[in-house]
Amino acid sequence: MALVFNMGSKAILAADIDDTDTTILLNTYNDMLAKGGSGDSYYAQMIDVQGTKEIVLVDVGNSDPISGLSVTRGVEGTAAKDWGRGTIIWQVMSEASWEMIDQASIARQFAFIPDGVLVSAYFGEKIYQTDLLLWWKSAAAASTEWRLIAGVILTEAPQFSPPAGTYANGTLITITSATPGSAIYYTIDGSDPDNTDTLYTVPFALPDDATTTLKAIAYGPERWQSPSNITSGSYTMQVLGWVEETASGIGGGQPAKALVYNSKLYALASLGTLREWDGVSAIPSVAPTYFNGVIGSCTSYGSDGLIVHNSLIYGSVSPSGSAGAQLVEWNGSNAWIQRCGDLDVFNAGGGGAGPLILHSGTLYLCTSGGRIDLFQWNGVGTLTKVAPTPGGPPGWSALGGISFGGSLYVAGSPGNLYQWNGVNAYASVAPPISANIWSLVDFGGNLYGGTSEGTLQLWNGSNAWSTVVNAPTVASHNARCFVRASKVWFCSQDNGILYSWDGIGSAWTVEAVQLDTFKGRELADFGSTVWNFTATPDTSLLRLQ
Amino acid sequence: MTEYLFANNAIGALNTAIGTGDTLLVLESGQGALFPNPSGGISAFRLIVFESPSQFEWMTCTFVSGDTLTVTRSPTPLSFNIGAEVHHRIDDVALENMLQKGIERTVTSDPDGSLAALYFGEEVYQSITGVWWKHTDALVWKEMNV
Repeated sequence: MALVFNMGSKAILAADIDDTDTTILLNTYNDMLAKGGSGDSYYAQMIDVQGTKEIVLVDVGNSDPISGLSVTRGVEGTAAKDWGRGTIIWQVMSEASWEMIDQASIARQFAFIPDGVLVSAYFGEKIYQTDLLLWWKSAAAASTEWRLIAGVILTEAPQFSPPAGTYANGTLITITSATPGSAIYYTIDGSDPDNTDTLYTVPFALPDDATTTLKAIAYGPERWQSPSNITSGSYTMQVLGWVEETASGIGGGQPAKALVYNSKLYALASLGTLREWDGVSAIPSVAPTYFNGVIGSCTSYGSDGLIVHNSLIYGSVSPSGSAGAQLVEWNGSNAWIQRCGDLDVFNAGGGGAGPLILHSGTLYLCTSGGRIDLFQWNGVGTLTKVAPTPGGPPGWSALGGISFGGSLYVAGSPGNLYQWNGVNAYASVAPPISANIWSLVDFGGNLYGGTSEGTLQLWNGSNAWSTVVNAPTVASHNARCFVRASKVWFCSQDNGILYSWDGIGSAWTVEAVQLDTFKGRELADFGSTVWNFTATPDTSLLRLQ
Repeated sequence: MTEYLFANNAIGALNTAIGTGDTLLVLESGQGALFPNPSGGISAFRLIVFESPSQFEWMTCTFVSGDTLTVTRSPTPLSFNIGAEVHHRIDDVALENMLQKGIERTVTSDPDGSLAALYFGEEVYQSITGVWWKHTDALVWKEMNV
């Protein structure tokens, strides 16, 4: 509503009106009141001899003085009453009139984004947001729609993962913005991106064997969010090489398992030594060889377990001169703590240390080297056998174990896959194959096994393995696989070549070639790259770059 | 848009009679200082010269020099005698020059290059795109935030 004025003008009622009438007739309108169009109004007043007055709001646009002015009766705190012909009516600046004037520097202030929240007082109202120093203007009356008219709210700039640097060919780049719901666009030709460029949807690979400038910009979902600043990074993609981080042949036996714990890298050597790498110094021995060095060689060579459970590191080792298995807990500084008795008593016919498996919050130890008995540890006391070695060929070894799809699985020599029934027995879910299964990994919701022949086997979910990745052309055995950056990786124990598979095709991709005579063994994802505790020489540490 | 100026108790009287074509009002000595002081051609104030209930005229004063007021006459100018009262008042012209809340224009198409502004600095809302525009010059409009 806009007010129109003809100050001081007056007219006379041409007919009686009662307190319910909403139309008035004037007998002298040429001198009377303001004129206007649709949406225009003015306030007018009548007063009697007792001083009682009534203010009315005259709708100029929807009526005329000849056929009758449309009025809203008794406004501005006055009451409608009867008025006689001849009553004088004149335009006034009522309280409401003055309040409709936009006064300088009078604006509401808030410390939050009003769009979608705050109801406007009128169309075009301006308010100030004190926390971000922004001006907003309403898009409709009594509405929560606001438009930013001064100031900028930037969409959070894209972040690249991994950050700019040198990486292996095929490394997938992930782009995110901290602004929820933002759309990210990017270029790889060095030009500045906008919302006409490629929309980021899924992680992608940059061109192999090349240096590429990746630029990205994020557009927030809200109309008041300005596009982000452009993030730029230079990526060099190449076949990577290993770098030796420690002295060769540090000893303690070949590494059996590796993991990352409290931002440090740990590996269990086959002689029971726990190695720690802080990313800076040479590898020390943080847990002495089990039983103060009398452990000797493990009968379960290379198949010991290492796992983090309840924020502690546990290992499975085989005491010297015995075929039994032991569950040990690292004391956090320099020693192992024995957590159970020698399992050899349970393993007539042999059975050394095998994989440790965390399943449904409980720790399990599977023996190896002659038997694959499954033991459960409840955190106190000794272990409880929950599945005996099934009947079958002699020479069982459990080389890999995993909790997958709600069940516990173990696999090994000679390639069988067993599923624990959760109570007291295994069920065979894949018969032997020509190779041993060295590792089990969950990749993309499927269960895979890396073999002693260097193939990757896919379990069909019921009763068989099938080869999905063929063995490398260069002899590369014992695929101790792990999953990193949407790929399955392993490093050849024969020659130290690092391979990966991204789920496409049937061939491994060479990620790094052999360094000198080092050979592969246990891999770990640490510090945004791949680390390799080598098999030969004993426990050297290589870093991929 | 003219900026209208205001002052309390700005009342004087003509010291010289005026005809219908005169644009200078000469007041009695010292009375010019009672009135607002327009400057730069962008400010003014409204006044009424009043001699009787049937003899008055609304004018716009654009300049004050001493006791002489430069005025723009109404479309129906009258003649006034010495002693006619000169009152500074708020009238419809001044009030309608003020911005009223919530009555800004809404347009559907891009106003830049095509929409004539009602006054310099007018703001209009483009409903299709949800953008507020501000008039800057002639037919030039700028988005208030991009």
